[in-house]
Amino acid sequence: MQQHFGFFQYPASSQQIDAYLYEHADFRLDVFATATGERLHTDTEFNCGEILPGLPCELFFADGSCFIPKDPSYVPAKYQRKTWVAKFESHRIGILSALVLVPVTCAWLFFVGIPAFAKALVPYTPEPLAEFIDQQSLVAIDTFLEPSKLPITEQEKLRAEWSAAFKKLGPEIAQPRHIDFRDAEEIGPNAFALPGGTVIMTDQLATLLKDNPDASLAVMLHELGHVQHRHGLQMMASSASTAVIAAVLFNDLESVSEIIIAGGSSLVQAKFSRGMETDADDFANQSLLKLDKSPQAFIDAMAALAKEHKDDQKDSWTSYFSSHPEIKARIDAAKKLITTPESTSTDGKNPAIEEKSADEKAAESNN
Amino acid sequence: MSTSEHGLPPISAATPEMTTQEVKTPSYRTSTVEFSGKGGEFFGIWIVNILLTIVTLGIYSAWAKVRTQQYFFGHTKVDGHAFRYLATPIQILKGRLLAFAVIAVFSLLTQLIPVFALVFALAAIFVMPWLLVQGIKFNLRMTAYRNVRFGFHGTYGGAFLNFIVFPIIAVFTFYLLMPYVLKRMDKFVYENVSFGGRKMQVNTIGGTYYEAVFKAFFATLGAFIVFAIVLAIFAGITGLAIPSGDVSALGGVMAIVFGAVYILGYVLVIALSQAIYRATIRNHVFASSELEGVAKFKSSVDVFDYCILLASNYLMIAFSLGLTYPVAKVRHAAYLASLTEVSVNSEIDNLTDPLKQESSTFLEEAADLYDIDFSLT
Repeated sequence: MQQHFGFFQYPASSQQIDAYLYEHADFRLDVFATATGERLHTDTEFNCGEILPGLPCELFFADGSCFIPKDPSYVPAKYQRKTWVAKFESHRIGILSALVLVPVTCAWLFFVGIPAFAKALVPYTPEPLAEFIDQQSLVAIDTFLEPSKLPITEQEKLRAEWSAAFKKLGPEIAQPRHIDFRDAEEIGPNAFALPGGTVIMTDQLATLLKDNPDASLAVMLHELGHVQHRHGLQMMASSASTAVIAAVLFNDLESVSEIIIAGGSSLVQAKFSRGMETDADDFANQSLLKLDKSPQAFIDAMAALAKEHKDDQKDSWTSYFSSHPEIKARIDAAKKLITTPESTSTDGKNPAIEEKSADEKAAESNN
Repeated sequence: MSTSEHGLPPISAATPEMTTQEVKTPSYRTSTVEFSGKGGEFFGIWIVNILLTIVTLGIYSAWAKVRTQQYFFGHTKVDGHAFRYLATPIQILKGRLLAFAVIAVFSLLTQLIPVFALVFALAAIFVMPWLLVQGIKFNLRMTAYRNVRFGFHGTYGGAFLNFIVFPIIAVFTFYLLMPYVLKRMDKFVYENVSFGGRKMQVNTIGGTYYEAVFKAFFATLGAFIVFAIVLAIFAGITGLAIPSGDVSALGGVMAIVFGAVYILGYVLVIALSQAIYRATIRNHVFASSELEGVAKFKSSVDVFDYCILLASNYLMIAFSLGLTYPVAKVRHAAYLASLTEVSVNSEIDNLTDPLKQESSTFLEEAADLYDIDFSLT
């Protein structure tokens, strides 16, 4: 039985004396005063704090007294199981592997883990919540967009045309919650899908594509792609989880990390978003084929939009931060479908439309 | 005695025999605060903390906090005795989960119903002083020195007055009252600290706060002017160099030098203003405070040295992408400790914890709502 020298502190008192400790096989500890040999304490019940490299493992007894061993490597048998972290922290290979694993696990979490989690979470969105989100989004949107100036008859006509086309795509395709128009002088020709499934087209876009109904249908099919894949909700879930995880993980790192996180997460969001745009494009083109129309309609729409927005070709660096893929790439993708439409839909079914059962369920509940 | 409650034989010496010790006329013994933490050692703890926190999706952050606190407390010694951090990871985790849930509900509600943001902002004014007092109380109760815990006696009313009412008044004086408000805030926090039944006495004066703010402001302004002149000279040299040919190579070099000077200057200005304010106030607060008849304090932080330390720490952290943060933290703690002196008299050897029955270190039993730190950091 080994003696461990150290100090004994009396309960709730600043008095302290030199003492030594015996540890018995049944975990019982005996503390004796070094000067007199008097027994100061005996107990099987005792606690210790975190065990850290280089610091003694202080032992706390139930009455509030405490024994501090001089030897920082001494840990009673009862708490040997708690020493693994300290070993990891003070071992060269442990530190090196942590150094490598920190960026790797971080990257995985933000690029793979969180987006996958967000995608998995979305089918469980309750219908009233989706509706509520759209209502709130519309309230926000209407603070900077004007009510549509298109004649009601014109609006009704477009809605009827698109709805008829959407229905033709089959019951497995989600229908938009609502199709609406807004006058957006500032934004110009554009269309967007709200997270809950409402689709908005600006008057400017409706006017721009007035003479090419297939092109405006192509744009709407692109937005329907977002609705079908529930991209808006995925985006919300993803950005919320990214913010939450980043806040929880990095609050001990303090301000330096904030810059890295902000940059990193906008990079992730942009990548995520470009992927969604490509998915929606695929959906639009495949749907056009399904409706016996040519993806040329999509190309026309893109060309018209590009002309209107004078979309300058972005260089490769900024495209990492851009939310949409380059127009040229989008047109090229559509062109491929015109020349070889069979190659992407060999089995007669469109891969973009072939959706997971969860999405189908969501689509049915929408109807 | 408390030992008999556990069915153990009574042990004679378990009671401190204070009556036998004569209280002499207090003569103070002075020592410098020792800090024995090592940058390399703390780096290991820090990087493993981050890894385990990521892998456990944040759960381990509670353990990480306790380990970090224990490391710094355990390595800080006054009069040969180390400080002790008593909070358990489970307590920290409970507090964080609670704070997290509250924040999640609030941010969800504000996202869905924007008007709530205003309601919460108003509510925050009234909740903040309570959180502040609870936070300080928790952290001091979880801090022990020589097996005696610290206490905090600040009230909600005091916190509301000093941290809400006075800052609002200061706004209407174009912040001219702000140094005085800062003095009141510090005084409120330090004055309500107690140790072993003795209260902290703080006699800080507003004048020093005005001096600190004034010096920091004008030094920053002066540094900005010098900085602007240096940048102008560099720009001038670059401008002169261009007509003499070899534009691209020299231009590139100058751009790098320009960028480096800019970053260096920026960091120096920030470090300077922080060093002036913090050093002045720290030295003043330590010199003006006393633990009622038990301990006196002295801090002799030099503004220039402290500025160099802060600036080099910031640059080191920035250029290592944060990896040298643990080294910088240890350097900072060691530097401040080396310039801090504490004088204690023999009274310190005979203090008792007035919160004796609450001071059991089996904290899990006492971990009620009162013992929860709500802060996320």
